[in-house]
Amino acid sequence: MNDMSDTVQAVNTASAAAELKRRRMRSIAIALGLGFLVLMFYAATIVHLGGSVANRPI
Amino acid sequence: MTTAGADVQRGEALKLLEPSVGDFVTLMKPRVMTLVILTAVAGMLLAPGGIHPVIGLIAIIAISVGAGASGALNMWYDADIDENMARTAARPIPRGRVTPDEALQFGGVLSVMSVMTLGVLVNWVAGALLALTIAYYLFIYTMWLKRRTPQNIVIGGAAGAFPPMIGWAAVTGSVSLESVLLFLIIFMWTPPHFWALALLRLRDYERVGVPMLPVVAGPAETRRQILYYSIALVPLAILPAFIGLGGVAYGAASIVLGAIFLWLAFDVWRITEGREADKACKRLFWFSILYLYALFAILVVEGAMTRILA
Repeated sequence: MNDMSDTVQAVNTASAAAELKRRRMRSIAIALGLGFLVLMFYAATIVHLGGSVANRPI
Repeated sequence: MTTAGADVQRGEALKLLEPSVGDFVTLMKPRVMTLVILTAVAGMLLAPGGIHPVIGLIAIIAISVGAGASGALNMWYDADIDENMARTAARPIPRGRVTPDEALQFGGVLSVMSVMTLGVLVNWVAGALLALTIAYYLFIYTMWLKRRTPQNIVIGGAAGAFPPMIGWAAVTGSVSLESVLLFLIIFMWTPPHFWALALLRLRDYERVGVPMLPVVAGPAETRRQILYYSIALVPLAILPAFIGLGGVAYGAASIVLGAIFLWLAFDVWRITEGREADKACKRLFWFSILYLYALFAILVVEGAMTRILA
């Protein structure tokens, strides 16, 4: 009986660790996605404004 | 129930709630996305005028994410069908890796973000076309036609045919007859492609009650329709070579590949019994994928070469 209980506990621990890893990977993917979106908008804004945007009287 | 049993069940329940990044990628139907990217790029490269490479890249990303989002929404709505079909039973929702709500949220958020990104950063004609594509695929095809009429993939196929028009609109800000021709090629390609598969998966479709043409009208009528659509498709696919969209390589490839397509469609119509009939359907199904990829890949290469050499 003890053996079975230990096995179940080991499976649950491994499963929980895997869940945690998956959750972490998903959080990283969402962060990277949002970061990429920001970069995309930044790059597109620079392209739309053109190089002469910096060349203006103050 | 024993404590051990409860622990195992809790473990399984947790697994249900924690999908991986890969599960969400699968929700986006990555193989379909590659075709969307290819056809959208073809539309962009063949369109007159130019687009800044950064804006062009953003357009391609937004179009492909939009296509992926519609794939996720399709899987959300069709989860009940998917779990009963051999071809789709391993998708993330039937496997319990992603809940239907998660798929809906994922698809919904990506749909809105892709359309807004394309509209704001590229132009609103392209953005509106992408919104139309997603809405068409979800509401017209998935929710309305798929479970009601054997013409589901004929009319619904329009959703898959929009990407070259969106690519074209991203460059020109408009829709033209040339882009409509690219649309029509994919539109006419869809029925023979999917009906060849439906003939092979007839029992699956029967079981889940999806009225695909072979289920409703029978295999003989489906084989006839495959041949008719193939006869309509091949000349349409050759046409770009005669109106300046495609070059010599495209013209030659579209004629040779078109002849093979017709031959395989003829085989599907001619061979109606036994394993040879299944083999004929498989040959047409796989060749139809190669056919469309090859034609649009040649258009992309020719379009890129023209722009590089100009």
